[in-house]
Amino acid sequence: MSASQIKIDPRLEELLVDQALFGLDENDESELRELLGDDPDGLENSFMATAALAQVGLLSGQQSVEKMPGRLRSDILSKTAANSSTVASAEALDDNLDDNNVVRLSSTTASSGTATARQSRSVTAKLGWALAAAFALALVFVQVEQTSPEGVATRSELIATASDTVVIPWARPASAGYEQVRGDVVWSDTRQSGFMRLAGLPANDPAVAQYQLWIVDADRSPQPVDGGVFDMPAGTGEVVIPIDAKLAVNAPTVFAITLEQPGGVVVSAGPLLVIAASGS
Amino acid sequence: MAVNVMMNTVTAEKLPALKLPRAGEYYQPERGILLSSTLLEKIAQGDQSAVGKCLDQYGDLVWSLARRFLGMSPDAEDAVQDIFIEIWSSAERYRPEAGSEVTFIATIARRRLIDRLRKKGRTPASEEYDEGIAAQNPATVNKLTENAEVQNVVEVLEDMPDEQRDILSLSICQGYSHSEIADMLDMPLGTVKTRVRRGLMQIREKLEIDPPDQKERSA
Repeated sequence: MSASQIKIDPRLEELLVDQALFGLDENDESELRELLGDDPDGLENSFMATAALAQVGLLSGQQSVEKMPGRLRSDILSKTAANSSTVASAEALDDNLDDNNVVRLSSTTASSGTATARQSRSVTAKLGWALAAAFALALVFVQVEQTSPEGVATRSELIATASDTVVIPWARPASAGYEQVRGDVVWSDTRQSGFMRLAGLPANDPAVAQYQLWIVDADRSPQPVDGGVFDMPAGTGEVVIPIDAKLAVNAPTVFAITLEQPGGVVVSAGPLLVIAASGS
Repeated sequence: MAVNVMMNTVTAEKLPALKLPRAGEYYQPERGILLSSTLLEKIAQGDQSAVGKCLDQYGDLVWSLARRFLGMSPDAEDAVQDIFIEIWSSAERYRPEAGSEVTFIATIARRRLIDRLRKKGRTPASEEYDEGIAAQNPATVNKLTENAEVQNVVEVLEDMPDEQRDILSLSICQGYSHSEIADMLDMPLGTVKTRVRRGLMQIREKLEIDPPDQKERSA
């Protein structure tokens, strides 16, 4: 039975209609809550959605949809970008990180296997982007950042200076042992530079296996581009690792991490342990 | 090539071939499938490019809703910003099978605008709203009316007597109270109440809105 077919108490219906039209004062609001209980039939939303859609229908019928000012659109984008410059989602954050998680990392490449990165430490108060803002989670954590070989010092610098930066969160991994991995990928096509932010990635023994990043470029399909080999030392909280793409990447759609033999491989057979995929 | 590594609890044994999403698809590892997603789903996944697209698609609508409630005041711009921030944060609750994005977004907008209007002292915006100076956007109207739910409601509204549609418009779009509408139209209060309620119920029955898992309670 749909919500519209449910027999509704007349007083409840009156309150639902008033709420959907004008909102309710405190007394009526408490009366509505009492009558609704847990609202198992979704009546409250049903009435509000009806009024909202009627409003859309009336505007459309009257040809009264106006163009939003460009300045307002820019303001909203700026506000969203400002809030999103650090974290893709609230749940991606590890709020248990502390100074003990600050470590020195070594970064290697598949071709040379040499450590190249200069590490820097930053303690940053971070509020996730708009998604996280609404959760009202102001979380403080420690980052270990490495500089990018392309000369962009840090992830935050890339975000601040490259207008085409995209931030893509890692999808919730399905591979056993990787379900807890969180973080995101930041990438700029114009700078050909990017960073991975990873928390919860299991430590590897570099003598046995190393992680390798792969970038699927829609322009180079099907063979993904090698994004560099890296290690995750034991006891590390969250790390930021520069992406070391071996070829130009112009239309990245997927970033994926595999576990490979030391030094990495030229062509991977997978499996894809952690994935960040752009929907665009 | 196969790598056998014991690393904490992680064992990579047999390595299957890579199966990678193509452009326009996204990977759902928990379901092992590739799907194209709605804008709100993409936003929920943290795809920032979808934010701009969502503004392009629904910005005019939300702006128009706010203008009708709040007029040209700076409050209308603040309201639109707040509404979109709430849309981003609520995107993960959107379920395409339960209704269209336009309904989800318009419902959030309506709740926020009613809250604002009440805080403002329930002064409707009609005195400040001037159809003449508003830059209409027929392209957005056309896009909206392609939506099946919007089409349905437009049909119900077109079938209504003009007077009932006008009452609904004053009430739903511009936030006038029953008594204010009664005064404006020189009509008994009871008649206004009945017509507004009846109009809303007609639309509700036609639309069969049934989204119990998409509750958007006010904060």
